[in-house]
Amino acid sequence: MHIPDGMLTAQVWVPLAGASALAVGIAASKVRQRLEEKQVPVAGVLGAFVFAAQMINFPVAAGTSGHLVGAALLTVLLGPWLAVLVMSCVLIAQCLVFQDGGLTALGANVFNMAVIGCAVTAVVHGAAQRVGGERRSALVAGALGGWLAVLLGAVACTFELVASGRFPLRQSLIAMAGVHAVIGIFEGAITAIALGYILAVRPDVAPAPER
Amino acid sequence: MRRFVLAVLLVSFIIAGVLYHFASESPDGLETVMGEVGAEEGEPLAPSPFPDYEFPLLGTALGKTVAGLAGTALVFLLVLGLLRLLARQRPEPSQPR
Repeated sequence: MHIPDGMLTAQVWVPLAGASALAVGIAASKVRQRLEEKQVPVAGVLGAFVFAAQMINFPVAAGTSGHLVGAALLTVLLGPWLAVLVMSCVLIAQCLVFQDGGLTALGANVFNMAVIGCAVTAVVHGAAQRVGGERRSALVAGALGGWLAVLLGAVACTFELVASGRFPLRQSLIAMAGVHAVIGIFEGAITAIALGYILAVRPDVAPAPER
Repeated sequence: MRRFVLAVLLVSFIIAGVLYHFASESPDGLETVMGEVGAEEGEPLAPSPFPDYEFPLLGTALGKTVAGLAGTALVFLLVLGLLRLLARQRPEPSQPR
């Protein structure tokens, strides 16, 4: 779902770059206040893991593939603010070094995959924590948050391309939502399985919930 | 926690260096829809040593592994560097008496 260069008009990518810069700035200031020393290497390896996982495209339909995003996994394990920063590092490396996602589309890609993905997972996680225990809430946030992160990210991506005059609204929205609803099922399932395993072996990785 | 960090790093290197060779080459969801509606991708604005997760200097097979390992290490160091920088800017907490 990485938008390449030459797809978004300036009226679309400039405001999105501003919104993402603002979100990353707020995240940086939140992280600075609360960062624990032990989280630093964990955030580093989880970023490396998300980068590696995003390289693996799996077939989802005839002639179409998908790959993980990882925002839900990072949000549950690191909290939403640190997750936004780590996710942005992944997207910046992909954009600058691997030509995956355009320079002018970087803000849009950060918005679609980091900001939306982490925000929606944080909302699901918070709602689940009010109802159930820590472990179950984490799994629900991974599964449902992961699915929604992919689906809503793809919908946002579609609207950005429609606003840029590159996509016809109806046809592309149906196609994008359809294929990403399927990719999102993989995202949710793999995230929940990974979280189940990680929280079983290292329950102290995830931050204590804010009270 | 040290073992957890090393284990996840090792798994990431295996995914990016080995498993990557078995990844699907089909276009992803966005690329497929772009094809369906006839939206053409623009040229990348900046050159890169690893276009599309390959390293053309070393050929396809080795180049993919090198690109994957380099990217995984790069993201690890990028996150560490950013967080160290943020932690250093933090004002020292006042000493409790």
